[in-house]
Amino acid sequence: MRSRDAVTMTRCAGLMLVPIIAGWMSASAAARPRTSCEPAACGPAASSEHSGVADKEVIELLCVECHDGPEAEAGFDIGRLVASEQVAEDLFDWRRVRAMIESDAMPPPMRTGRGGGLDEEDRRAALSFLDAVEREAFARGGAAGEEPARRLTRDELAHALQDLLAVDLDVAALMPPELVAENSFDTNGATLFIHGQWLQRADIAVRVAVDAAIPDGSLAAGRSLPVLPALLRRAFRRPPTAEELERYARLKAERLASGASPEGALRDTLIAILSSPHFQLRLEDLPPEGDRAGGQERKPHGAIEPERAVSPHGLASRLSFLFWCAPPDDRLLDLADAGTLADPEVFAAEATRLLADPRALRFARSFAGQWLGTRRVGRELKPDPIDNPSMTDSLMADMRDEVARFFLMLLREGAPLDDLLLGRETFLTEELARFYGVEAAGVGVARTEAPERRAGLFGKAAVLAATSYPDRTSPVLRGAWILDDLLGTPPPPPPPGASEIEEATLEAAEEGGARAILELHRASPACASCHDRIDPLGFALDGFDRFGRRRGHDDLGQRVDERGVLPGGPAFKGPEALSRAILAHRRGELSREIARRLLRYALGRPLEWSDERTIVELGAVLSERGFGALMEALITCRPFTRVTIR
Amino acid sequence: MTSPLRRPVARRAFLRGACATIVAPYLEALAPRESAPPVRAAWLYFPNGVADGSWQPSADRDGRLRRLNKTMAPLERHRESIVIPQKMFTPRGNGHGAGTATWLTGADWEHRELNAHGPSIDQVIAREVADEHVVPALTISARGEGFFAADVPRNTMSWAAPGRPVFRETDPRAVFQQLFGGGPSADTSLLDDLKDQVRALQRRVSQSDRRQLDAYLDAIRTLERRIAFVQDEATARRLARASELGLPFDPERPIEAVPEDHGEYLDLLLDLVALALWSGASRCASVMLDHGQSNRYCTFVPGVRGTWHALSHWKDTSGKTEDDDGVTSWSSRGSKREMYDAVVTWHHERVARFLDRLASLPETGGSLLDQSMVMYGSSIADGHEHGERDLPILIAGGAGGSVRGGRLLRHRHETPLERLHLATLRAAGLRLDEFGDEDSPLDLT
Repeated sequence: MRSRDAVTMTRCAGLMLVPIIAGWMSASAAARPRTSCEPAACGPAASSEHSGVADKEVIELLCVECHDGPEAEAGFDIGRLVASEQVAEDLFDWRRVRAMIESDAMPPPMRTGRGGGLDEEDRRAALSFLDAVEREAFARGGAAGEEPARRLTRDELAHALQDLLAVDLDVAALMPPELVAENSFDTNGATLFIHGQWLQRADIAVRVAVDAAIPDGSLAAGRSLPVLPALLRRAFRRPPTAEELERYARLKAERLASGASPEGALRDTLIAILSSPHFQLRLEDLPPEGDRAGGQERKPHGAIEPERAVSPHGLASRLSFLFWCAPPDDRLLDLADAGTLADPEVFAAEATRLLADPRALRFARSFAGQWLGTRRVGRELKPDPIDNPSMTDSLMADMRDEVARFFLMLLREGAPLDDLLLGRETFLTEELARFYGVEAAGVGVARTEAPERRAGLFGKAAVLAATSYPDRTSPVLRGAWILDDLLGTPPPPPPPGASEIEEATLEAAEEGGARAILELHRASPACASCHDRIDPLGFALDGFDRFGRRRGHDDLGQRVDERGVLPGGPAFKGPEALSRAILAHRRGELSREIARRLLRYALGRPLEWSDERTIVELGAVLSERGFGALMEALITCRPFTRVTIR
Repeated sequence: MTSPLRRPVARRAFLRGACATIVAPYLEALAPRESAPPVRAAWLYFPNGVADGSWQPSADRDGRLRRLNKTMAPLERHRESIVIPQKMFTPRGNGHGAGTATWLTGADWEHRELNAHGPSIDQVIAREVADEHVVPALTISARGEGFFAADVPRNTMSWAAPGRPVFRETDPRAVFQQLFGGGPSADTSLLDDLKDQVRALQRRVSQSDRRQLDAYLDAIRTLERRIAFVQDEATARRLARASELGLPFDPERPIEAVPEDHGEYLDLLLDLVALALWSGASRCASVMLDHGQSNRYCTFVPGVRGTWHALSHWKDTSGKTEDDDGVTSWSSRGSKREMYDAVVTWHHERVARFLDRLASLPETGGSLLDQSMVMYGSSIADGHEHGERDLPILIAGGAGGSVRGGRLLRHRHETPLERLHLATLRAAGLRLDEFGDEDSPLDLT
């Protein structure tokens, strides 16, 4: 198959509409002087009226002829966009236009009579209008957003049972794996479907966990379950109502009266509690019946739609499900009961406490593993065990965990953004140290200074394996991963006919190795506009094989050549120089994409245009003040602490 | 269940009103079929298409099948039950993702919203017969391997409603428990209690949350139906014969492990489908023999190297192009195509065996195969070209007299798959005026 599908495959099945942050939003720095207008500086005064009619006309003239109405090319109706007055609401569609224009992928050569893309003047005019769209979205953005009543994820259910029942048993394997939308997370309420099989498997998981908590005949020595009211409070993440207390007390009494043993009665009661929708669905922040605003002012100053503050118990759950993938502990619930949790200092201190707890590793595994794709290593991405005996399950688990522990370290220690790509401190087991060819620092997982070539994300074996095919490396895959998952600027899907162009040139390229093949498709204008951006990034990592081992020769036996170049930026050689180039020239994109992914994970809903303002603000915090400040800003931002009433 | 609607209605018109409240029965009533056993339907999907020409049979001028394509040899023994319609296509969604997601909906694919504008045909039937079966529409997939194993469109063929994919079970043990239980979830008083809690909650939540709670109630009802089903006497009588008929329902030998061998694994899943349809636990079933862009190493097929998807791009032989694995190489297009064909043929064998099973199960007036309508095929024509026209599709089974087998349907024009779906819905007894954009069912009699 062709590079066409390689790109399509990794990121953009069909014409995806993943938010593309682009252009002027990459502003953090001297990188792009023309884009020095930060949204905040431009302020709310900016609106589409100032964009100038002529600017929109360029797009209308050059795009709408093909992209109009129900039969629009690629199903993309720009005619509708142009006609709409509400540019902010169409932000993601406008960004799609922007990505095409910036990469010169559109308009196609046959439309312009030249190579692809707009001429300088039209391009400037179009981008100026698209800048105005961004400003408008920023000015009007920032709303709280709706919180869906999603169910617990498979991992959350398993961890909740571990914590509530104090059993050291992972029941996740009893549950079916979650489906995930592209570039999203399993926490996304839009894909947490509820169905009979899920209910049944959850039921099995609950029973297995309860049985483990109540060993034959008697409770295990030295361990006791909380009494009923305390258990209900932790399971439902809020004080139980009198009716609920009575319901479960009565159930237990009935079981005892009908001859059940104390353990049997307790078992049935626990199963009933853990089967309840109040445990299995995130409902702890439900306002009382008939009062959707929860007794608050419905439409605070500046809000477009009515919204309210999340209740203290809602906050407790948001925090603990974020950092522990599990319900709040008693201390968090006490603070919520007392009404002091919403106090910013208390809330921040609790966040710090939760992050410092060993359970925070669950968050790091889940978030970083899904964001970077490293969670698939050794699972969906599994090398043939017969051909690769050294790639043991334990080694691949260590590889995955190295990334999680590294990321968690950045958060806990409030590291600067730069450490994500350049930090030398890492966490190696003996097996992973041996794999890296370094001295093991101790027994078990040991924090240690990694060799220079292993610094930051690009030196991590799990990252390098996750961005390879099962049996070989691909500069295209790695480059597209950097553009999409790290910088939030995924390459647009290939133009029609891309594969044919490549096929014709392929046979001539047999001799030259991977770089020669890729040089060839970059020689074609239709491919070059994107592959000039993709491939050079990937080549910087070519000194690592498909499992992340150092190598001097690539899969085709050619000497590794790690030279690459950042579009509009400097040329570089090797991973460290790539990291420095990104930090210097793509700092804004990188910090905003991290903020975007974290926000998406934390909110458990698809992000909307109005969230982009929050993302810009969080990104600036990360870029300037590092991961500690980012986490504090995340848990206090409006979408995390408030909710739109619908 | 009695439907409040007595006259055929246009599906589209209906969906407009029905999107929010999906619990209410909204389809036209079943045509009366009191005496005959109901027609069962099944859809079996395989990814990555077939090489151009590998679905083409030889047939008489009048369309009588003389011989299936040689790559379809395993199915030859069922030729007289098979209809091959030509020039079928999915007008509004193609390929590995969109084609899979819309294979059974015949509608547009909207990527951002994860919306195939369903419901899919199996769910349309399921809703009509919701109260008559444990799992009215069984949904099963082979567990994924390689890229896209968790991707929504490539793993989703059934949609309960727009934007609501139906979960697909991959574990044979869990399929069995789904149908017949196995201990837990049999506590009716607990389920009653849960329903009370959900109903109390429904008064307090927003419109969108209410949909989630509706789904939760549906899930509870599924468990209740199973309890009623396994306690039913007719069920017990039928299941008492299941094991002697070769079905995986043997109290002495419960399903304890997932077979390591991929063929045994798929055969077990398909046997469970046969058991579900025959026992009355399910009215219809959809099976994904692999996800929509399977990158599975098919080295379990003799003589085959490389992954299924790489093989499907059979005109690239260098082994150096993107998505080939770079290690596997092929000496020529011909040899790569042979391996591609061999992988597809291997899956034909699974399906032929499934049809054997249906033919061996007694049903009033014949076999279960006579009472079934099985659609088998892919969402891609030639894998290398990502062909969208002339999809490899076949129909097997008599559908209670609605399908006359042994024929090639030569269509002069490209024919939307929805017309076949509409024919299936009619055969299953649903009097629908249209499905997708189509109001004219394919004539299969």
